[in-house]
Amino acid sequence: MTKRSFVSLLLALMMLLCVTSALAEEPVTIHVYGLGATIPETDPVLPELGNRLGLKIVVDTAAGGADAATGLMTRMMDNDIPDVFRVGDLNNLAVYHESDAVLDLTPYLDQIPTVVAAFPETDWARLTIDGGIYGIPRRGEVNYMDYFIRKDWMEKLGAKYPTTFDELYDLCVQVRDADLDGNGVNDTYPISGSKLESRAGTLNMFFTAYGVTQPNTLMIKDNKAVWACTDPAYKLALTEIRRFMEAGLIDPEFVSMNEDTLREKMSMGKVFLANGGWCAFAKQAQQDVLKAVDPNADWGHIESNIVTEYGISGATHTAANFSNVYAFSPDLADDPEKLAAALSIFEYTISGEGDELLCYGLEGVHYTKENGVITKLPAMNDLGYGWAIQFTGRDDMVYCMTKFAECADEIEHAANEVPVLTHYEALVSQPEGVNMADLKAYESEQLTAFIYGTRPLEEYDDFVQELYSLYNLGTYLDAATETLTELGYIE
Amino acid sequence: MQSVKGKRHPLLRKLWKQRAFFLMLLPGLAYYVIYKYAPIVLGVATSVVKYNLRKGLAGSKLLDPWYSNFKFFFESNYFSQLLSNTLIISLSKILLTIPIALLLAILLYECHSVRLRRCVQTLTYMPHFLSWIVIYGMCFSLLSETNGLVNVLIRKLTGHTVPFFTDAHIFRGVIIWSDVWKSVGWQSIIYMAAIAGVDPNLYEAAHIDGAGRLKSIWYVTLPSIMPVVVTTLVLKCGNVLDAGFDQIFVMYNTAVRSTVDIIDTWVYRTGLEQWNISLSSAVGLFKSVISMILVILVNQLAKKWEASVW
Repeated sequence: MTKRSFVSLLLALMMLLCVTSALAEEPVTIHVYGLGATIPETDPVLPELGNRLGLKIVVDTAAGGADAATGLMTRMMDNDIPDVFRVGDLNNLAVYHESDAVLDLTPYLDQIPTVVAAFPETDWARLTIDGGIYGIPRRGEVNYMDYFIRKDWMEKLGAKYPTTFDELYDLCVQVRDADLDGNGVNDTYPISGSKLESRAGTLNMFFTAYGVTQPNTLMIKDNKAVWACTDPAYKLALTEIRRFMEAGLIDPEFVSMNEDTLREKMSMGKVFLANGGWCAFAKQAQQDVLKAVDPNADWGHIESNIVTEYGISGATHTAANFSNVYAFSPDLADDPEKLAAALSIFEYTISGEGDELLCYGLEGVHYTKENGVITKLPAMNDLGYGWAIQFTGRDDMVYCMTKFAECADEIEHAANEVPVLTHYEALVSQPEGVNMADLKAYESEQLTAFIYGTRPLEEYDDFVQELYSLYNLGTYLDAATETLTELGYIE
Repeated sequence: MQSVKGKRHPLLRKLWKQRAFFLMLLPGLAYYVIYKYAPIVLGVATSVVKYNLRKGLAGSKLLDPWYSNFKFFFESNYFSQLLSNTLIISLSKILLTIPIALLLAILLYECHSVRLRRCVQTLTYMPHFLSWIVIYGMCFSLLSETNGLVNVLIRKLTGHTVPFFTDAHIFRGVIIWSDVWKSVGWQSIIYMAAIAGVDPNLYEAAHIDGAGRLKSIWYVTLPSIMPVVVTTLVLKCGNVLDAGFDQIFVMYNTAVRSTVDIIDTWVYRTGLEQWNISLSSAVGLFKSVISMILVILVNQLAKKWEASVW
């Protein structure tokens, strides 16, 4: 061998060594597919988390729940399952399980002892299918839902906050006739909102005051599974709603509205009372919208509850925080190193400094900490995508009070003063022989007809019977009772 | 040898003679087999199995009984309502769009001011490029009962408002007419092109025979472009069970669902929201079969006017 070829061989060997060592040092990359705002390229939080754990974390998000599920399905069908992914609800988790597209975490739980200890047995039980645990829960959130009212109009009228539907009725009549927005036309429908079935639904004040939850929900009453609209109190709530509708006190368009159209109407002085989360009305940007037309518009939470002999008006909440579950790709079972890395993200961020990093960002940049109390710095406003990267959720009350200090009053009221009714249908899978989508659609349509007066309320009992005879509600309730008993909600 | 074979099989001989053409046909044929026929087979197969998302068709189990998905669809309490809504909306859209587009095309063709014609043409086909979300926003701003422009006017004139978005029967009109508005300009382009292709000699002959503008439209323009109109009708019948999912999904609500709920919105609620791909395939198959029957029937009918597609 000539000297020259020896040198070139040596150089080639050195290059090969460099390449292999560089490859070896490349950290494990974990791909997460979640929900929420897009993570900006300038995000400092995930790279910092990656540094601390010796990983690279890539989070891809979809903007809406349906988009996220469709995106995930497409990836599964392409056999390109993300390492960690958010699961929309219990039924979806079961579908993924049937398709062998999700990892059984049971053998690996010893790698995440803090996470295991952080959630109660019932949370894990909900994620158990055929004896295996298929997801990691997320810490629940406090109630955000409240009723927002034009406080400046209340002052103008010198009215007191209503505690019965009769008082609310009189107050709304006053608002309807007073032309408080001063445009010369009686075009204000005092009560407005969006949708019928959502927890932000316009009419939830009526339902909850009669001790029932919104349409399309399952309740537990007297230790029994009850489909909410079949409860005798529902008819009373609808009678009350009908009285308000007939008097023109409820916006007849609420079924076709959404949060944006509602805010628009609120800003135009066409609404007096609306249901929604403080996160939709109280943040600075939203307040700017609400005050755009009338700078004196003062929207705040209602200071009283409507009480009937059946209940107190308030909010509703689903027993399943299933919009918040993370599951793992079954391919990770063949790659223990990667699986350990993925699990370490959850173990590290469930508490302590990992939790602080995901919630508040970097100390000194986004917040300061003194005696254990975190104070927000202006830069924290850049971290508007927090929800999407808080893999195990957050200590919600502390988090909201720190990050949205300007809404403190509304946050505390919603969390502490608003009574909350729980509903359970998200925990129950659809049994054979029942078409829940049809049942729910029929229920919504008929309830809307009762509310608009196109079907007389005298036929309400017939309607309940139809749910049983045409849509097999009985079969569903049997399945619900079984599931809820297994989970310990019914004794 | 070959000639002997040829004598036995005249067809084979003919084929062999034209082998170069068949070779040229091959890529086109392959395209249809791979992209059009194979998906049909896969679709049919998917509709009778419990689809495994990860392993695909190979890892899926046959349903017991295999027609469960079809049964689930046909037995839905909504089946007859879905079918009638789909047909009413779809046929109304077709039967309104075609004559209006035709009228628009003729009016534009007869218009002598080039500038006016171009302006109107651009304005009428512009909505074609808008998404339904945008159109919904526009409709809401115009028709909203509380602050829509149209309703403000109606209230000033009559003292009442019209519930465009919450009255089931009125809303079906909103769905149909907003679609006509969106598609009519675009559709008229085809008819404009057809009119431009009419032999000018025919108009001259009609003029010499004493026909005015209306008569030459009636006796020359319309008969000349009738084959194009019938062709568009036959082609549209192929999609008669697609009554416009995007539009209805964006615009409908529970108060009006009884008159605008169509097959596709049901499939979305019942099948896709629960990742039941097989159910969607089964309904897709059902729609295809019905559409094919309709296309054949309409084409037979068109043969009477000597304007059939095949």
